[in-house]
Amino acid sequence: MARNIAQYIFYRLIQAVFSIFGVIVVVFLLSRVLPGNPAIAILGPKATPENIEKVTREWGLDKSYFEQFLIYISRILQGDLGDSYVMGYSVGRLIAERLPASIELVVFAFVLSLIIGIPLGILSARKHDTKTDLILSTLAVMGFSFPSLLLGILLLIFFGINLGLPVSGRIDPRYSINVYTGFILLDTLLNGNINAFLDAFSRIIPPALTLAIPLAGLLLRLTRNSVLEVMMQDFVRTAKMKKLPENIVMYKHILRNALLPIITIAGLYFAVLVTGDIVVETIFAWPGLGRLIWEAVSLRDYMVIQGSVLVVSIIYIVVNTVVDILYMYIDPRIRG
Amino acid sequence: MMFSRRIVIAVVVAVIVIAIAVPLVITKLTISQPVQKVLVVGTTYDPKTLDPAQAYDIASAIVIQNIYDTLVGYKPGTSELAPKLAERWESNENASVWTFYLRKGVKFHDGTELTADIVNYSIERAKKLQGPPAFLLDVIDKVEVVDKYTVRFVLKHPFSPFPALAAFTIFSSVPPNATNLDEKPIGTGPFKLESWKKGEQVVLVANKDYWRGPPKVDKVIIRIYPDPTTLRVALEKGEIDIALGIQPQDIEALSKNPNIKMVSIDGVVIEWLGMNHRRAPFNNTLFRKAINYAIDYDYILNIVLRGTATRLYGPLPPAIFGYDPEVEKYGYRYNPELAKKLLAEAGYPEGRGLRELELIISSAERAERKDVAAVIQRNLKEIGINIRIVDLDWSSFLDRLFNHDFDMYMVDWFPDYVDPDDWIVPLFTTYGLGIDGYNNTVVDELALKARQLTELNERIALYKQLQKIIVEDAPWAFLYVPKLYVFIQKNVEGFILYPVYYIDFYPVEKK
Amino acid sequence: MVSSRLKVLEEVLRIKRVRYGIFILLSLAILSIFVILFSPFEYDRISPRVHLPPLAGSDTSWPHILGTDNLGRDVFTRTFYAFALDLGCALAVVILSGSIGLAIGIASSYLGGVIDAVLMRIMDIVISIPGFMLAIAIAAVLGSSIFNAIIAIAIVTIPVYARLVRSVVLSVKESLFVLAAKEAGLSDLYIVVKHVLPHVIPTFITQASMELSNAIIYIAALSFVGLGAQEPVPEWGLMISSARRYVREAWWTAVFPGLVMFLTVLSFNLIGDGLRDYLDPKKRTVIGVQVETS
Repeated sequence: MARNIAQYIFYRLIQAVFSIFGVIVVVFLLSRVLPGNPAIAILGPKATPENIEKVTREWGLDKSYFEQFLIYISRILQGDLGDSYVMGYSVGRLIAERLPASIELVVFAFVLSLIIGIPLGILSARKHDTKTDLILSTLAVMGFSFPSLLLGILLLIFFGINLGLPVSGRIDPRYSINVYTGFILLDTLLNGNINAFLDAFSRIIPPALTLAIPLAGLLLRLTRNSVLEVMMQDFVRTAKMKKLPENIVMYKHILRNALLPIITIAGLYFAVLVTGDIVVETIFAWPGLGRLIWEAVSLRDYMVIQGSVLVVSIIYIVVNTVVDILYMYIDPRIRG
Repeated sequence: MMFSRRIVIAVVVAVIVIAIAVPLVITKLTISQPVQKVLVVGTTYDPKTLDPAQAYDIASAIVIQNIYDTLVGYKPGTSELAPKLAERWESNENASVWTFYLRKGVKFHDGTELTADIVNYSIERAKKLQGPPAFLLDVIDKVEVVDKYTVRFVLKHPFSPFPALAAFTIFSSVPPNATNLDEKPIGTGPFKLESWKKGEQVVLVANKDYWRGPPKVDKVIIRIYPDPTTLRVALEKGEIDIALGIQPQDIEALSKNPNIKMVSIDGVVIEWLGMNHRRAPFNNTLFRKAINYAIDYDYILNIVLRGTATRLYGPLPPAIFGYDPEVEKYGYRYNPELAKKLLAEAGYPEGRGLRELELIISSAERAERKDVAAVIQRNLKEIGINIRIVDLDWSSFLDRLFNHDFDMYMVDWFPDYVDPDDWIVPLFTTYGLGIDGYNNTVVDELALKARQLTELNERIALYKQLQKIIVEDAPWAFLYVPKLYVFIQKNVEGFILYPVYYIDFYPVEKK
Repeated sequence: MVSSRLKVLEEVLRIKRVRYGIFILLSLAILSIFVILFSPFEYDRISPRVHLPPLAGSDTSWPHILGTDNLGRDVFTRTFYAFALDLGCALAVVILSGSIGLAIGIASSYLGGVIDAVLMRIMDIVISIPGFMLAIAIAAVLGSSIFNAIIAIAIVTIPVYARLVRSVVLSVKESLFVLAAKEAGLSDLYIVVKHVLPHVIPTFITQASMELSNAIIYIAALSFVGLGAQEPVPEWGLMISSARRYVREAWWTAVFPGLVMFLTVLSFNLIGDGLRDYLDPKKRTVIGVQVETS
């Protein structure tokens, strides 16, 4: 059995490395199919001859594609994603500055969706085939189908206009907050500034809800179905027959078994979310990775677009791999 | 006696102690709780660089103008020139040699004194770096240091707008020992850079030793709101004191807000619909005139722009000398019937025989341009011309513009120096940018003559003549001149708006 | 044969979710056709009467049912033109990526060996890049137009079908009737068309209906960030992107296109969800196996 686990993990890691390599190839190809001289595409039309020469030399653009690829990969391995000539910084630095904002938003949204989705899912399962169940299930499908475009606009109107709350950015710029972690909610608390914390808290709610509502819909459905499935299983019936109080049956047996698939899907979804949601970050001016990509797109800053796609994909692959391995530990059944 | 003497001594001691202690305590109290006056400025633009030799965009200029000083400034609220680092200047007969006399005792943030050598160094450095605005220095043949405080520019050809050019940020002096000016600028200006977080905010602190005296606020935070809607929300909530870059559609509502003051002025930026004269059907003057008559300018000004712009009838905006109000009589107005007639005369009755034309725009920085383009698309459709709008990013847009790969385009022109020369030469002469391929030898000759004269009235007469010739040729459809708007909170005073995009935080006070 | 197909259809239609989904979709489609045929407003007709609220009167026989936008254009007309446009684009995406995915899936599973390994590794790589990111990167390289947006999204979604088809084909391949057909000396192509495809189709259609809703979200999102449709084309994402600037004074210009988009996405999700249950009653699990964000 143990050998199986090790084998599985090994196989999974190899697969992850292979995927990352593949992503690098894809991003490299994308950067080379740009129309015209890639150096000019990188630098923009205001490129000076010196800069063109510099970029050509740095990335070996005058050499064969194979050599170019080797140069590309060796730079990536050194953590060098190149420089944004449009924004005037190294791509790595731009991404590093924006990543914490995205992660904070996603973690917050994720927790929010768990709080909304799981209890409602359990409720739905307990009252299965009743009116409550029907209403909750309908809401779940609707929530899942909510395009973030519409949901974001609705929440912007509700929070910004109806409630009159601030709905843009992470925090009022007048609060001077020492940055310790890059996560504004933590930093404001570490600074002991309650007002700043409340301000940041009220700003994260609308974008987080926009991300959380569809996910909560998904979690509701998932929880309901897996709890139902377990409830139908024999040992629960046995427990019921033994006349244990229903609540104890519920929590002891059902939840423990039912949470497994929820964790996987949630982990998978988290990997998607963590890459930053471009639409949501654009609507709420949230200075995260999604917003960076939007800015890069509107400036056609190819270096930033490529760098972001690369980083985001690698994060996505790593998170997925970790979730898979964890899942395998939790649920021995899937080791085939 | 003894008793009373003791009392006297005690009273005297007490008085002295109190006299010393009370002010001490008061100052101590005020020092321990300094009321920092922080001015928060919201803008939609993100600076690209803080190096004056590299900056060629409004967002960078706004910050650089407050960290650095140029040789020449503007009289408050106008586009007329005024002394800044240079106390005065003069030229020779034919405007080809210019001498600037520097203000004495001006110090950089690091303590270096400003001298003619440093001015020379700054120009040389900018020339060497060849940043985007470096072409503005091409007119300079050489810089001569006459004495410690006198510097002389010898130009390659006579150029009367030179002092106006010297107000551009590339004429900011930078200290020779500074490294990494892009991120750690050192200037002579009223503010120093504290921090700059790309895409988020720039923080400036007051330069207490500024040569005009310390600024009225201790700190300026320039916060970047890439989304104009959130900028407006931030303004209304009082999160920002000054808002730069409010969209036209928000101006009407904000002007009614009792808590917010509106400052506005006629700008010098012009927006037009350009056409590629190298290609049919635009090589046909009748066709271009038809387009000029087909556009519903009032709809664009009143409905799309909501009165936030005035009509542009010819090549020059009204706020600049050389503008002739006569153009409002002979310029083009909306007349679809005449447009249809001209289109038929041009050989395309009801648009027959025309291919689908492409209108390229870049709306990333001017969202209303998309709407104006949609109006033009519809207006032209009504006389039988079908166009397709292609919204590009700014760099691809410029790329296609300068490779002459377009049918039509819409763009605005932001003058580098406030002189009619900077509209006429780059935009309408064959030795200018040559975007449209417009070619009129009379225009070429008159424009060249106008930049060599030193007498203002003679120049004005020439520009009036040029205006008439250009309008008659209809090289573009002349669209509009946006007004400049800045919104500020009620408690902010002293803000002065200039027709050119010069944003000066120095005189601004917070009550 | 015919009667059994009818029976399947009958059973499918008996599923409530499918019925609701079809009902919503048909209602929207009928409205859309009605608008395109009879609306007195052209989708790009501008007027000085801007930001009129819903149900405001107009100079035609129709009122502005959903109000007017910032150029005085009729929001109702534009929203339902956009229904046709977005649905058409989504169909184009699904047909394009579905047919390529189908071909890859069948080729991979049927030919096996090196081809299978190579094709599937390529699919693995594409799927390991978050879909919308890759679509953005491709669309940015191709340039902004609705056509390029369709291509970008299609490329990104090919692996979904390829994997799905491959797994179904692999399970069918060893079945008795396929083996029998091989034994009878029938050509591979014939076997695939006659015996394998019919087994792939149900799963394929289920997935496609889910992918239609994804494609709609992607197209709108690409247009929203400026990489898709251009003015004055009526497209939901573009409409919302322009309307966002005026959301305070004219919420209807942003909300109604979004709402119709939501209903469309919802209807496809309902149909897909119901179909999935029907095909695999044991696995009443997730709304859409593919979990993706926009």
